[in-house]
Amino acid sequence: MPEQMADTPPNRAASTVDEKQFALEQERFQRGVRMATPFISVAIAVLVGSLVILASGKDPVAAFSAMFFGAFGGARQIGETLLRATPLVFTGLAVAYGFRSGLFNIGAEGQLFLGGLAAAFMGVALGGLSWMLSVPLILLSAMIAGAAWAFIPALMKAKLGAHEVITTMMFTYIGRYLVSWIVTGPFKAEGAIPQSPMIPASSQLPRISDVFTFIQPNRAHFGILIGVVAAIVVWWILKYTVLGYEARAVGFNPTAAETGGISVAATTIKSLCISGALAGLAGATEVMGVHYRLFDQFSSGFGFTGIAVALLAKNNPLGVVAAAILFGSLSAGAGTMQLEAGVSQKVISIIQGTIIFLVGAETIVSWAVSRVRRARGGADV
Amino acid sequence: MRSKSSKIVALLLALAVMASLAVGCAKTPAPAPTTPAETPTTDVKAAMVTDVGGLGDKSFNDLSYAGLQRAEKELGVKIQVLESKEPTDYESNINQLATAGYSPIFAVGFLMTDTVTKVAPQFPDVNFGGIDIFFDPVDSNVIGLNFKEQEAGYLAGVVAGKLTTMTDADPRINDKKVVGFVGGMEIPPVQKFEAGFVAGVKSVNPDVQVKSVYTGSFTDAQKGIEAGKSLIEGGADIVFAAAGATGNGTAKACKDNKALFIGVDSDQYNTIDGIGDTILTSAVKRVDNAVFMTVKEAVDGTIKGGENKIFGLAEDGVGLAPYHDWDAKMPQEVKDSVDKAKADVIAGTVTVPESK
Amino acid sequence: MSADPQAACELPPNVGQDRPPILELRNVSKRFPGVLANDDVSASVAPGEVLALLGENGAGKSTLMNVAYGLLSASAGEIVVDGNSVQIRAPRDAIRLGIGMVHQHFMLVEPLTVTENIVLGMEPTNSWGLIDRAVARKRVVEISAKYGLKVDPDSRVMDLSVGMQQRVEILKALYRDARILILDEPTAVLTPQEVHELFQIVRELVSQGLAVVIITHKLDEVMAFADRILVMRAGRVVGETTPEECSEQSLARMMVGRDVVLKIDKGPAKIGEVVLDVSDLVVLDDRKLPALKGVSFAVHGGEVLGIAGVSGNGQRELVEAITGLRRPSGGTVSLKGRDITHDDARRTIAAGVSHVPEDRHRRGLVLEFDLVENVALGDQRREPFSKHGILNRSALDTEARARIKDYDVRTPNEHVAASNLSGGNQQKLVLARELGRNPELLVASQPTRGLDVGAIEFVHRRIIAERDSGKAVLLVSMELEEVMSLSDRILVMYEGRVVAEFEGGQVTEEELGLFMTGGGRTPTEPSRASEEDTGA
Repeated sequence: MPEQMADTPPNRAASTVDEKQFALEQERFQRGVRMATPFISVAIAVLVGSLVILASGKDPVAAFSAMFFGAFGGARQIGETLLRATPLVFTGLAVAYGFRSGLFNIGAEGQLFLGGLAAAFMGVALGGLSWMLSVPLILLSAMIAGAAWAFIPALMKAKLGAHEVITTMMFTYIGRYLVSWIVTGPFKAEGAIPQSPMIPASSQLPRISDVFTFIQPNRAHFGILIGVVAAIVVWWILKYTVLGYEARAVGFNPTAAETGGISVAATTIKSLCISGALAGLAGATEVMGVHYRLFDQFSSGFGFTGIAVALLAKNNPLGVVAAAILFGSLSAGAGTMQLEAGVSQKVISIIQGTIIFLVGAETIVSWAVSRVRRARGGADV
Repeated sequence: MRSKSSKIVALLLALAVMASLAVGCAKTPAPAPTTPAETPTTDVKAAMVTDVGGLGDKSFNDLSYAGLQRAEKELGVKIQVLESKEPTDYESNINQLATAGYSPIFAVGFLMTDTVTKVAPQFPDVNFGGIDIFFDPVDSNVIGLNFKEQEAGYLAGVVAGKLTTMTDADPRINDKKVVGFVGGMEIPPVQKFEAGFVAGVKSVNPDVQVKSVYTGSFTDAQKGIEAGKSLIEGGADIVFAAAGATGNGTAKACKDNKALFIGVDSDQYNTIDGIGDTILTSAVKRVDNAVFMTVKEAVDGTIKGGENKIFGLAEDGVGLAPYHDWDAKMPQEVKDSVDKAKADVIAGTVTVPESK
Repeated sequence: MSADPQAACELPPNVGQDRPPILELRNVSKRFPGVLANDDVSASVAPGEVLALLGENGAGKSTLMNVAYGLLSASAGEIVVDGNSVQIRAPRDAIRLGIGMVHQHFMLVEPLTVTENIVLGMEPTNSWGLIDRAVARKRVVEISAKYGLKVDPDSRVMDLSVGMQQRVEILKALYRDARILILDEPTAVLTPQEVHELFQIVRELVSQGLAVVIITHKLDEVMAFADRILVMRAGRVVGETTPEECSEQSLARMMVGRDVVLKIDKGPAKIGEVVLDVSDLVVLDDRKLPALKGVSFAVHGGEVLGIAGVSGNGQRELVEAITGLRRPSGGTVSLKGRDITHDDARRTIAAGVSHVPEDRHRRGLVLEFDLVENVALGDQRREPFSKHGILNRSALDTEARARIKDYDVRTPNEHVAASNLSGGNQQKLVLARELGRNPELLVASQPTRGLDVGAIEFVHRRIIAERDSGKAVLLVSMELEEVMSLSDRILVMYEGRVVAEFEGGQVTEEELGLFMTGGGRTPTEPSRASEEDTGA
């Protein structure tokens, strides 16, 4: 058989062009899926919620419009939404920072309790000081307390390889029981109720509408602004500092990070402590801006909802703010939905659960998207 | 190939989860105000805000709601309930109800003390009732609805103190003359139950010993099991638990270890599945009665704020639940003692101590 | 590679072409957005024939075979099996038609046994409807005996070597009565011995009437065992030939579209001072067993020191010890007279050691990072990349763009994720980072593993350029040809020791192979080796 070598068509040196084009296509596709997943998840969750409402014999349109009004219908409602978003911004940031470093800080709840404890204690102790001094000091001590609560699991992870999911969870239990004991005993206010004494006004985070009186009265406090600042700072740390760069490198590929001269152990400890500090702020702002004191149930699992917030935000710090506001609005609108449409607030839990599930199962969404693309004759590589 | 089919499995799982969620929700009681038939009309609109336990807690939230439902049926008031998911909800829920014109509004549980105190002055025309809340100070439109737990505990103590010496009445009763008490957190309502229980036991049988354990929790059933076991091992044949859901664990420990149980707050014969004749009775707080009476005062126009009401045996605010499975075999002597103790307390000839 | 291309060319003319083809692909095109992966491609294979599909990465070989196996659907064209036009929509259609495929990445369930993996999805059942393990095992043993594929049917897959796992994959296809077997880059993950064994298996299969298609980019392999070669480039078939009618050089030209330098020309070494001095180094492996048992050598500026050896004889531990990734338990490592024995990776990098790791996905790159951040890795704490812990993004971007240009990394821009580059471009990116740092010493481990001809040439040129600029290069490779063509001196490692040293160009593959496998210790050799060990 003769060698039938086809001559190279001159313009078929296109292989390099194709190579670049291919990389670009891939990049765009991945980015698209990443961006679309949260929105698709929320949409499906609302659909599921509607079906549930329908199944219980109620009108989903009325329910959701009541909910929307309850969350955004006016200054009071928006205030409620922001109030509820505040702790979730911090816990969402905490969990997201952990994820970016390859750590699943499932114990943000425990760090939050310690932050709350520190805030209540320092809030009372610093009662005589001007707020300009006491508020920053309280926030700082809450960050230290949250970081400290994360430090031991971090150390156990770095030195012994103990998995942080187990250890931070265990520390959550310890933290909660610690707070429960402290408010029933050593740090209990006078009276029958197991709760800490109230922190003085100088230690409180004021309501925004109390300071800017042109805003109609609502419950949103300055914690939300601190949260936005924290989100920007976390974003900046991740993108513009060596600390964040190394955290992300370890998060994506610890082996390559190690090869690049990054200490995986030290980075793990730093990242989990930063995560803990952010969770601690959630506890502090709840104490300083909402309850003005500490008690057993002052957090209804904000640390755990923070996981959902981080997932929905795809661990993007600025996305966390948006996701927290979404979750906050669900929570704020729930009351109005009960009142106006007679729909149980448990529907809200279902919607939240569905969002968490779908966001967690991103592969499903990206699979569905690629199916659609394939059906349209697009790439599926 | 493999990854594709696993994704399909995941998708199916997702649908299954959603479906089960949907079914689960459909079963939850939808608190829908219904129009009552053939009842007198009134323009009173009564409402309540649950604590984070929500409806279905088989305790104060459900009891309060039962009181409202009775008022709806018998008095024709319009009722509404808002469930709270988190402590942050308390204030917004109460606020929304007050804004919507409901009065009286009941806040269930002492964790709403601060909230009611804060919101009440903003709505001077609305009456607020706090279940298990002792207001100090108390606003003119606020009523604290409290209970003499010690009186219910006292009756429970009489039952236990009598029965523990009657080894013939039931094979589960031993001759050790020890009864047990399991408490949740060491807070006044629980301590009052305990004090009344001890006093009741001693009043009928001074040489019966009462052993007490506090678990520090109202939610951890496992702790209740452990506490119950340790008391039973220590000789107790009857255990009274005033510990919320933790007490349900104690009931299980009693059933498993052939001991007898006394419930708390609501009639726990109905709330603990399969408890059967392990339960003698329950020391109940008639939150439903207190709520109903308060609504009735509102309808009658006699409602008066600015005070902390304390409901005792005399007001039918506390009491003992029926004996149920034990009704037939409960010795008449025990029943008589209970009736006498009740009469004495109501008459004032006996004052039950609030603390040990 | 020990296979000799000349020997292959002496094979008798293949018999396959006399028979009608069993599988034909007619005018197949496959379009992805922006890419025409297959452009009007026709190919066929007959029973008893080995068809090699040769081409660079991205030439469209795998795409074509994925179309044949039903993993992709063709945009145009026809598939013909046994002379009948067929529709293959999914792999199960392909399996039904007798087409089996072994992918580059095995699709095995690791905790299950060999038998369980083979029968998975097609389990024989007994009258109770339960899996009949005895029958399953018997069939597996029968098939493996028939084709000479020795494998323990009861081992767990995770306990098997890569070569054995590949046999399990082939058995899986045979168990499903495959008549056409497609092997996608089958030798990429194998040791030379395993490659040799695989070729024997393939020969046995075709002698029993199977048709085998092998997707590869390795020239020596196709010369060694293909009956017919189809060369693809940029989605098209650019040539069809047989080993008898071609040479590696002509194949390379067809593949790449220009003349390729297969054997790099290098001038004489200008040996400088000692850069790396390794003395009596003892290193433990992950199981705390000694992997290096007292190794000594030196690398001078201006030379490439090659380390030859069969994988697993201490090369990895040696590289990790030098680059600060593994703490030696004895001996010293010094760089230009400075002791760096106990330095961690960060200090080692700072001292002037660059490292091209053997596994660029695991060690070399953070695939999720974009190119800029990958270029920064290892230098992130140094000015101008950062100052006081704050990254200088614009300096990073500028530097990354410059390096991408210098090292010809083909990418739409510097902000795509490294995972979206082809293997060759990923390795160029690693080189851009490691060489762009201007190190004293380059430690390159398996620098061309999995790369195609064009990229290999690039990497080799860069390594020689380092040497020519007076830097020291330590090259560790399992590819003997690579070691021999690049190295000025060659050390052979066997069981944690240096057992021989040769001047570059003064040793044959056979000699090296002998030492690599523990032989070659003629009475004079050990003394020579130990001399070199302590001296140098």
